[in-house]
Amino acid sequence: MLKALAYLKHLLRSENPDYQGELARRHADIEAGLGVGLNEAKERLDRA
Amino acid sequence: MRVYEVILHESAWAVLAATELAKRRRLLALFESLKASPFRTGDFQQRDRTGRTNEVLLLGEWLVTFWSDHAACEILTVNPERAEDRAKDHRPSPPVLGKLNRLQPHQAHFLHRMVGVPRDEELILDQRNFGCGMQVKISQQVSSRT
Repeated sequence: MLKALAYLKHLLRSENPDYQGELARRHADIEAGLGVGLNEAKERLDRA
Repeated sequence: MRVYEVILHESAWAVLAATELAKRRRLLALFESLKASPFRTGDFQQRDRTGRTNEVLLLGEWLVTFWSDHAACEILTVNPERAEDRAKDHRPSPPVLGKLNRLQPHQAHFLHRMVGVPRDEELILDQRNFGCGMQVKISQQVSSRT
């Protein structure tokens, strides 16, 4: 059931221009230095 | 063998921070598993506006969208989300509804098989699946919206 829901979610938005734009924006954010490495994320979570 | 780093978008970081401890640990372990297999392909592929093909992988209860930058040895994770959360931020638009009403036989078969509905019965999707009071009936022969 979970995989069906995942597939449905993917199917519903895969050609949605807004969603495609959102993913592109997030990649641009990371390229601009706004990403967080996994190790740093773990350290931040430990401190929080 | 080159070591890859997983890079999280700030929204992914926010999801981690907002997730309860036990589930967070599982999600972190899933991210670690991505590092170990950077050439892994997803269950689905999702293009973004720039034409980049992101991998969409179902990992446990999580659906993770990522793209591996092999030149930089980085796995860019842009959207971790719970698979069972309905796509309420992306309500089906008329073209998408048309697509649902004209599923390819293999797509309808896949959905039936995953949900465990016999192939001669209709699969009914309703407000549990959509962010609105809409119902879509999918059979392996004909799909219809009510």
